[in-house]
Amino acid sequence: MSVNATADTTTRPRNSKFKQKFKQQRLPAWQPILTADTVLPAFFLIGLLFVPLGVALLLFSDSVVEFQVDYTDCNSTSDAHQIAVGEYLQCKDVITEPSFVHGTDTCMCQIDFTIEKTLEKNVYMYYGLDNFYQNHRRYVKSRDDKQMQGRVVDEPPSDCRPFDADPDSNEIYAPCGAVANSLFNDTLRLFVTDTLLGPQRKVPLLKNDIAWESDKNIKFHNPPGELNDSPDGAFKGTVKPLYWTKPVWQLDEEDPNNNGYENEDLIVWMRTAAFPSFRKLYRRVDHSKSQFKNSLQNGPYMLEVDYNYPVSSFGGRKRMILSTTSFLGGKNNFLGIAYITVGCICFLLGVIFLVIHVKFGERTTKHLNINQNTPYSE
Amino acid sequence: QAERTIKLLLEQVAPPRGDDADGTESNLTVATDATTLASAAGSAAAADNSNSSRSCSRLTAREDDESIETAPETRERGLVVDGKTLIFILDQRTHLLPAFLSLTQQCSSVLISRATPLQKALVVKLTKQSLGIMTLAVGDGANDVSMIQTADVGVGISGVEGRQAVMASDFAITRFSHLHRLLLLHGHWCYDRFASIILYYFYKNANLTLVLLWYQFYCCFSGNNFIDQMYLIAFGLFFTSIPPIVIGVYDKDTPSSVLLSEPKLYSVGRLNQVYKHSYFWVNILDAFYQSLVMFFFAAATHLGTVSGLDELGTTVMHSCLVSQLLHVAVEIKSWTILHVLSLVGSLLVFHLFIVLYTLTCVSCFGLQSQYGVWAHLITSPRHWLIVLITAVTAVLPRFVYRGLQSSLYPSAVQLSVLRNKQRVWKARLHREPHEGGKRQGEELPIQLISQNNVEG
Repeated sequence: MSVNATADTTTRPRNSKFKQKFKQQRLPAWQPILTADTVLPAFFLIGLLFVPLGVALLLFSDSVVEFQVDYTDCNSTSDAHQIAVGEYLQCKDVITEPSFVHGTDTCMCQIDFTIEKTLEKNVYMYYGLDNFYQNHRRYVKSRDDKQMQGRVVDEPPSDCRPFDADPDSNEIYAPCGAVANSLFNDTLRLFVTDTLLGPQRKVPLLKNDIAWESDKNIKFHNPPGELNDSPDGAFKGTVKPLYWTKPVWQLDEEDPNNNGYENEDLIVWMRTAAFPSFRKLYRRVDHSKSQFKNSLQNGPYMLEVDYNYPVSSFGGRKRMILSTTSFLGGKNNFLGIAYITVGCICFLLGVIFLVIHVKFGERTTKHLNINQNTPYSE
Repeated sequence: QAERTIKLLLEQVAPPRGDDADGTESNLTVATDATTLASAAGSAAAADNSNSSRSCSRLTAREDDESIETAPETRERGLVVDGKTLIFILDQRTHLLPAFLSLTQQCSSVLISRATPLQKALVVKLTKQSLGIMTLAVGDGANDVSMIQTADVGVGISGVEGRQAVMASDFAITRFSHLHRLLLLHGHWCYDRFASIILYYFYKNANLTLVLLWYQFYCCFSGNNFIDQMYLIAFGLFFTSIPPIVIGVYDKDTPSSVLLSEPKLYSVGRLNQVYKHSYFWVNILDAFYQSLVMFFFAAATHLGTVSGLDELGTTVMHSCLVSQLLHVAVEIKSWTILHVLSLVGSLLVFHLFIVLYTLTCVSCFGLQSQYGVWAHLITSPRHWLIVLITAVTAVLPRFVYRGLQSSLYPSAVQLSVLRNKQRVWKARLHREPHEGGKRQGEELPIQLISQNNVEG
């Protein structure tokens, strides 16, 4: 009684050939069997490809020159912090004293160091922090992207707590959140100590173009209005974050493009780092001046720090890093070494498989040729 | 070619002539060969009836070598029981059941005629319980429904006696002869596919979760997801869901001609040789190793650099995806256009999703903003280099294992496939039309077989 669907296909030529084949599980197929001899070429290919690539990557990484100066424990240069003749307090202790008023009091230190190898154009200055967990879940959540986009917020999001609003005046912090609150506020300056290299003592540094373009143009935007907290200003009704010494519209009063939420140091800081030991781009060396046209020459230099950022309470370290870059980024040997290692392993595997194929290949063909006349093995 | 019986089949046949319709005596015909069996059951049976004839009745054709009933002698024997005798046997008070079951275990096939539906179901149930084997029931009428439902696998034949059997069954076929293909081809493939995709699903999920775990060592175990949550959702839902489906529907580990001509390959499924406990744990170990590779290659490259959380997360997710797709590619046993499309399609979906997400969504759903991250990464050579080496290194052990295993310790299935391939190549080289024709004949489309009923 029931008409078979399969019988219908002969009377229904409209069913496309592909559909017919699909339904009957008869699609053309390629069936590779991964035996030793089919797998061999892949290993040799990978080995031949990876090893030179790894070598090239190592060469690129070696071409990057980098210098680090750890200034966490540097000594103050001010006479007010002198304890004995020639002995000064460490800045990290000075700023944690209860009498120290952030914003008005300062602690400045100077560190002499030598750059052993010339850094070719382009040279970048970074600040590095250790043991600073910018990737902690509660910290990462504690921000308000909508506020940073320039939208006027009445209520800061609950994630920003406890850095959302001033508990007394109930004015919203601008910007709110723990990420913004912990903005890095040391100032680093670089000086050439050897006047033989040229007349200029201070190394010219540029503070623009250090953040991602997409961040600066779209993600971070000042609210409409004048950059102040007057009743018709952009930041009316807001107050500076808890740990800041000056409000957000005074971050860079010289350059209005770099002020407010669009301040590039703030933008760079807001991009949370992946690991507890990280670095962030601070400044770029200005290579337009003749003395630094092509490079930062090797020689003695001096780093001057306005020490504001307290890291000793959590055992953190602070560093200044001068580095060039390659097309792969900063100095990192891992990728080159990994490629060489994997390439060598693959090559070795290829050789092993070749041996196996030659030695044991007969075993498989013996298996395949078993028929009724094959004698039993001994 | 004779039809091969593989499992215990209970069939309802036409009523035997010369039935003792009037006699209360039941007619138990025991066909045995040696006294060994007679002592086991013959005594019990002989007590019930007066005449026990000794005739060997060969019911069906030859059994294959590896039968469930591991009889010490290779001589085939069959057992015929009729419904009235069965009443006595199945009755608990006679205690005949254990003897009967042990007797049936010595036989290649057992024929039970004139059984009521309840008896049929009862026999299936008792076989299942006391022998602990997998049972399959085939039937075409309403009286077979209870038997079909009791068995582990019920196959209904839609045809002359209506569709009740079909509606109660797990599989429905139109001709009894299709059972041959149902078991040997589709059953074999189905088992292999299930094993493949189940192992892959466990691997896939364990892998992604472990990658998230390794990051916790670097973020104070605060539970920070360094892969954005939208990616995590889309990963399982869109990026890696299609290829396993294609494998589950369409992957063939052996061509149909080989399976039909070598029925002993069916024992791979029967003896549970593709999905064992050890395979599961080795699979999880593989997932563990791969997650280490995926995370630490990217992490070591990014440690101490200016990279942000978003970049690391996206890089790791990308390498995770490519590795998992490469894993699927190594596991695919027969490549059709569907397989290729599913892999390419998954990658395309990934790229499309990530481009749209990172270019349109500045800050949505209260999540961390991923704006501009992909644009930054897609132009970064370091990112692509990380993805490349991670994918190759992650799949390398599995690849090596597959190559070694099929060369040094090939399974029966692999040997058959290799043999078949060799034969095809030889045929092509020597251009033997006979070989080609013979294989053509074995692969007749289903409708032709049903019409001609070629079974002889």
